[in-house]
Amino acid sequence: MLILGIETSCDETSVAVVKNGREILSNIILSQNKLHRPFGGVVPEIACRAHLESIIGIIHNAVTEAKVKLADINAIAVVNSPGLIGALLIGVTAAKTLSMVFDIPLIAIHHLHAHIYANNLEHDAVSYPAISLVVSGGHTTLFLSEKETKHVVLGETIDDAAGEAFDKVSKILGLEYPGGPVIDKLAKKGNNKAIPFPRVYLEKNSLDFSFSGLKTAVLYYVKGQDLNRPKSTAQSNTDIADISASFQEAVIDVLVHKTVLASKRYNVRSILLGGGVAANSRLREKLQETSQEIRVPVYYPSIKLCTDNAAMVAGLAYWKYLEGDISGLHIEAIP
Amino acid sequence: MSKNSKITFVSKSTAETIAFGVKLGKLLTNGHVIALIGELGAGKTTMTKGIVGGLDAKDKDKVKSPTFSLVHKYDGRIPVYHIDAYRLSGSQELLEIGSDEIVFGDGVTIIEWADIVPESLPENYLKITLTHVSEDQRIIEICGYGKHYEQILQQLKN
Repeated sequence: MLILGIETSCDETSVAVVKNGREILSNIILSQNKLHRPFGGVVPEIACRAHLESIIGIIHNAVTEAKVKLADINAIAVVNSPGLIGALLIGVTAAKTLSMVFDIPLIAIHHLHAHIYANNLEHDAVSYPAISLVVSGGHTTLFLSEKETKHVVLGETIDDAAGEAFDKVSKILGLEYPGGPVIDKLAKKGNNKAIPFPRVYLEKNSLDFSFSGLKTAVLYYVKGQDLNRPKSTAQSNTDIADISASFQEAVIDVLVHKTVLASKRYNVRSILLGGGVAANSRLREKLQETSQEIRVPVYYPSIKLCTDNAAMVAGLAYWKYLEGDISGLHIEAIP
Repeated sequence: MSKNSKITFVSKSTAETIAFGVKLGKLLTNGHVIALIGELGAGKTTMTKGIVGGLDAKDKDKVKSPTFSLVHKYDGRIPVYHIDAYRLSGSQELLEIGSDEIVFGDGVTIIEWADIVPESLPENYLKITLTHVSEDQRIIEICGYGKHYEQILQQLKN
């Protein structure tokens, strides 16, 4: 069973061929990071145009690298939600076209469910039920996962996503975009207890997240009470490393606390981490430590499969195919 | 602009900013446009939470930063569109995602970082500028452009 997956929900154009939901024959990812860097974030129109220019070539590359022919593909999978509407449309239209021309099933995939499935691509024995935490620039969501294809939302951010907080704090500190990798790197040189930034837990037992106040707290720490002070000039490199480490620790404390809370509440057998922020080295380390204490194994994908990619899409589609969950040509892109 | 078409107050907390937003939301109707201006962390999304609540949206607790997805829609007593221009470099880009249909449509439109997309705003609208005073306090300045919005300001004063 060969499935070709397409992912264009944000700023990565990716096409993959995956065999039987597990074996990655190809996983081509074209990142637009460099295109968006001057703007400090993803610019939707640029993203959309870049997807359009590259999608056909990337489909071709994915099939070639997998050493198969398009006519050998048994089904097409595509992320149709959530994401930037213009970006999603490119992938959905390409997928519908392939499905129609080759007369093969079309399977719609939820972007966040695919991020969770990235774990199954690399780990054999994921036991369910599991608590899944998807953290990225656009999302911070906790799920109760009953099986590969079934996920119920337990909580999510009520304001900024965790990755968005990394990007905005990076901007406040005068660092580059995307903020996640650069803060992760600087934090290794800093003291994560240097500044007691707030941890927002919301109401007792809440599984929702809030990172907006933390961003504001960093802003005030950096600029003092005088916000008109020119940015960054007063900070030494040690300061910036300490701010990065302390900010990062505040985000991670909350993420880990809520994930553990949910894991205990639902008495789960695994913890699954996914999304771009799952690449953060301190988050991986701390969740690993904590999961050992509560004796629940934690899984996270390799760095390449944390970012948006189509292998996770084609992989998850295999299970939906087995369940007969075929979408058909009427699917729409839903932002 | 007449002297009466501007009010200023100091919010001492997130709760006060939301309460003001609720009061404003109750006064809004089809076609109204609110431009929100302020630095990172000034309280634009917080203000939006209040406005959306005042428009009786059942999903008012789902109001969050649209920085990533650009436009959120909430189902209030009339549709509410929540736009964020933070990632954009100008009005043309907002236009290309269909902002005209939203701004000149029949819902209420709230635009964060409206100063990045001045050409996307209609002739008449309500401008709210939030300025940091301290970590909790914000100066909130509201300007009404056009007779209709000046009336809203009068109602807010009462």
